Amino acid sequence: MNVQLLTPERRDTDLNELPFFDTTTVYGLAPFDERTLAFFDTFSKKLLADRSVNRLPEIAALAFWIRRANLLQIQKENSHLFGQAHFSLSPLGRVFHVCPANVDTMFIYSLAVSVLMGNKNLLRISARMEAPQITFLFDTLNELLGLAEFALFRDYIHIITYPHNDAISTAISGRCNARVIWGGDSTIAAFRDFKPAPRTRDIVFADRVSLLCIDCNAFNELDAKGRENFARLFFNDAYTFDQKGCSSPQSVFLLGDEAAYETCVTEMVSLLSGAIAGRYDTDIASIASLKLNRMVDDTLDRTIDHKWGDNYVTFAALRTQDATEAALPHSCGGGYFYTRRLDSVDGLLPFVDNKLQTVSYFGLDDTALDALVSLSRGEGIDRIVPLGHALDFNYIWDGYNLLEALSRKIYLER
Amino acid sequence: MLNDLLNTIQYSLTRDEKNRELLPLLLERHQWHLGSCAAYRDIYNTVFEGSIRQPATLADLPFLPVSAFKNHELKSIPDSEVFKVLTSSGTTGDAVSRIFLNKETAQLQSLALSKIITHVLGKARLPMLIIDSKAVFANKQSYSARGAGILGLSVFGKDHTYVLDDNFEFDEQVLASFLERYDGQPFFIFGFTFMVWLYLFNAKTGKRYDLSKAILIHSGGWKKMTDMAVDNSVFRASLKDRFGLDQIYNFYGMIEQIGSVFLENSDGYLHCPNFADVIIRNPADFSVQPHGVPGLVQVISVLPQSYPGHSLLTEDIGVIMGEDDASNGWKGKYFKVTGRAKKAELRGCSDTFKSR
Repeated sequence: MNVQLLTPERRDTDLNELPFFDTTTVYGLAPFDERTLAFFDTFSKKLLADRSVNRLPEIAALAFWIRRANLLQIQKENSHLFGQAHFSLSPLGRVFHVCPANVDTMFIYSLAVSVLMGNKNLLRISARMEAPQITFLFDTLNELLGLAEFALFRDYIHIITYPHNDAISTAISGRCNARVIWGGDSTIAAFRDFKPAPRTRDIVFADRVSLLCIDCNAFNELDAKGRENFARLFFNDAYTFDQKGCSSPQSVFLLGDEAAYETCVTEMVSLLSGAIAGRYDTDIASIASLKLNRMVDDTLDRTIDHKWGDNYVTFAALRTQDATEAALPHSCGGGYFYTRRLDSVDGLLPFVDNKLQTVSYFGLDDTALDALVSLSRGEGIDRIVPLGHALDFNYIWDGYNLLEALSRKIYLER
Repeated sequence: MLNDLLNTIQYSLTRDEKNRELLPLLLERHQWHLGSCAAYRDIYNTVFEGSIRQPATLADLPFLPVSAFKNHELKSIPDSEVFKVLTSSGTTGDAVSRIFLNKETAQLQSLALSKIITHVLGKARLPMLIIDSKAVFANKQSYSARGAGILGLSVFGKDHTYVLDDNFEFDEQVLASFLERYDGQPFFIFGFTFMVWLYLFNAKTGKRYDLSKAILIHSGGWKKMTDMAVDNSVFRASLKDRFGLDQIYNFYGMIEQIGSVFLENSDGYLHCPNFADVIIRNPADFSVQPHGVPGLVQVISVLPQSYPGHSLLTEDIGVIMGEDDASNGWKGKYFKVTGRAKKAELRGCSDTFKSR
């Protein structure tokens, strides 16, 4: 079974020859091993030293995240896992990562956490993944793995690509201790068919939707500088992946009375339109068609009853229904936001289901945030973050603490 | 009034005259569809803020995206009056447009098409050479756009002669005997643009043929041609060079506005007839682009009465090249289509050619 190896070096190889499957070697790295911290810290410095990183904000964010100082901070936040009398933390073993085909660096974080916990890793990426930032990332990684001081990590990080091949996917699934499956519902469904071993742990990242909650008065009171900043944060969260990232808001809920809402929605749409026109580089003619088609569909499906904005930013008012609400609709992307006025965050209740991942917020006070946390009890809402942080990775993701999900606890009685 | 507009000599109205004649008819169409099609009314109110304004110019009319006819049944007549349902062939797997016609709209469409085509062919039916094969009709179930186009234009010709055999091979004998039959007389050639290119211009022939008496009408889009790096000027020059063929008319039209076709004028641009118009929309905010600035093509036609298709936004990118000053004397706006909105759903006017 031949696959194309991309890391630690580029060559074709037989799957079975990868050190990943070699069960005779010991796992030399403890969770948060000093050697791992040094490896990632060097990786971070190498990424940040390259001038192209200035144009690649997601790579810069990744580089900052894997700095030694940040990783130690994360260890501190998880003190409940370390230095315990009755258990110690151990790697899970072999972890198979199935990465999404779209341009997204998220899977690199789950790889980093996994290496940090001492696991050996095999990543399957799509052959279509040729974005310059991904190539840059892999090249830098390979360069590092070529150094004698980091040779140890060549057993821990394997990135491969192969065309859709059930035999290969099944072979790997049967011989790993955990599978990290990105890529949404359809990828998860496909991999459910490739039977893992009984004890294999699946960590899955399904299709999710996210929303933004804004206090109208807080927005209305912003001065010119505050508005400029608001627009920048909004753009980063919503437009970086054309609203197609799971954590990007597809709906905007506006808290306030009718008067505050009218002012807020009108001024926000005009602010965003001006700000986005200058930054947005997706072909606007295709977006215009996409959104007009969706608006017509939504009108005739009785989903919306009003709209604001232009083709850079469209706010479509969700029709108020007497009966139980349908789930939060999925936006077509490209700056098409469903919107609704609410008296308080409690009004979100009908939209909270197990698809809802991130609620980002602007201008909410502690009482409102506490109300959001209450709403999250049960099935929905895995993240509550300020506007501008919707896409920030955290080791707590989709309800998992990845540090725990990618490790075992060894019970010890002396 | 509508009939007057159709019956006047085409390409005769200047901007002011057109505004005077066409605008009231389209405002009437708009009111009719508002009253007869709840979907049109909802779209107008929700997407175009219709409740707070009244259209006063052609540019004020709401425009439905052509895709709306794929996803929804849009009609302004009761089911009992539906006389015929047109469907587009699109790329396999795509939803098809469904256009509901009553007798009145169907008649308007054929009258309008005939006014345009006879404007260049003359009133008499000419011998017709078709650059296609009869086999294109073989699949009755998914009656292809090519088949429909050929049938639609066949009413303007006689002695319909298909120059490709059942295996889609060029049959030189057919061409030779056709030319012999009509030696020295004008005749009509019709074909899809890429078929004309592949099977007429590129045909291997034993001798040189003179097609200088022919009037070629062709359609079907330029996507395949662009892939072969052939644009309209190369197309025209090549046919003239090889066959002396220089009366060439491309046309642009769509199933959602059948009958309302934009025929190529002597400058090589697509020309609005008296009963139709084109507006170019800025993709950023749908405002009207000035002449010379590209944008999304909106097509306006007075014909559609049984369905709300009088004002449509296409996914084509185009640009207005001038108005009332074409060198052959035709009045009205003329434009060119430069491409399609990227990523937007692919929709060929002609189906994929299944060779052999």
